[in-house]
Amino acid sequence: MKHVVLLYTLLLLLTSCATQEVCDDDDQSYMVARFKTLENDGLVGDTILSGMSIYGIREGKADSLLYDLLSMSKAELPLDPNNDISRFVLNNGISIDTLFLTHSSEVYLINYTCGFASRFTLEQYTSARGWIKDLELRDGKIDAELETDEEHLWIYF
Amino acid sequence: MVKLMQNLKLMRSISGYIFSGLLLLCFLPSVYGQDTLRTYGPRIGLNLAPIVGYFSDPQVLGAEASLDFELFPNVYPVFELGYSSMADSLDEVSYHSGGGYAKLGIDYNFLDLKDRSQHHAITAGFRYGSSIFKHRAENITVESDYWGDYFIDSYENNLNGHWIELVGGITAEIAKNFFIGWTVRYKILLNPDMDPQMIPLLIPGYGDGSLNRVFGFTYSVLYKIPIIKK
Repeated sequence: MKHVVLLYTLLLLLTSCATQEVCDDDDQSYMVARFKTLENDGLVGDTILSGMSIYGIREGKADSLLYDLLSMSKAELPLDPNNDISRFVLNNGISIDTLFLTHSSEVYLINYTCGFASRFTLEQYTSARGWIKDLELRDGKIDAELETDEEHLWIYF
Repeated sequence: MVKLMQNLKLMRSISGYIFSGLLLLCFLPSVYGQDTLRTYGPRIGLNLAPIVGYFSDPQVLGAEASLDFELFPNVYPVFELGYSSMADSLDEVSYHSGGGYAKLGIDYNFLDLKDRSQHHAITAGFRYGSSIFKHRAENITVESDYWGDYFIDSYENNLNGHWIELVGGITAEIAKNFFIGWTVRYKILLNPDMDPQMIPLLIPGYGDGSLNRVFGFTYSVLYKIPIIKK
């Protein structure tokens, strides 16, 4: 009888130890692109672009602006988990260019409350050579679990 | 408050049990005869603690058996073998994990018994544990507000977990060659990054793979095959 009581109490103790996890709102990974200029003397400087609009080219879907006429020094761009290429059109009303990013991705479990997310490795990056002068890879790992102030790509205008 | 009172009651009933168990150990030697021969032989145990998993949420099904032998005075090499599995449908994930495990280690008996024919023991020891198992998630959705959600039928991985256990326990011989024993275990996971894409919710023999340290317990009935008397 005592053993049954012991088992029962241990059972209660164990079930009361179950932890509750809370899901953060945003667990998507964004590629952070910082805007740069190359000065005449060869120095690299930050730049703020005004009137910037950015959208991704989505197959079979209407264009939808990620940024709409903003002054900005960097852009946080979501990559496409369904494909291994993401394309973004950058436009400041005067100049326009398209950014092509190829990437590999893997899914991972954030936790059992939040479910799965994608993390990306940036593999190739190029532009339509309209407005963007150059691209420089800073960090190819794009993962919401890593530092949020990471800069992945520098875009020279 | 009511829960606190219940917990206190629980703690009291558990400590009461431990205390009466210890008392039992003190009195038992006088119950038995004065035979100075000691019995040796392999001891087979069945761990009843996995029954608890049957009632837990999510349900964890499992079984575990042990084999030990007093190789040197008070030194018991131990081998444990088991299986466990679980399945759960959580908010976002339908998950399954299951597989077998083995543990190898040594227990040392600290209880100083005057009568050699007694086999009660208060032990401390360690185990090295290893589990070979498979876990799997189904109907995976990766949310992307902008590009559209991404769906995968399933993700699965065959894994191998390793851990160390520090073990303390009490074993009492309740009838000739029949024992009951329980142990408390502090487990240290050696390879918590075995699957960086999906942390296992159950490592058979260990427990929750998202925790690098866990407590465990066993409650066993054992039978010693009396082969040698000396």
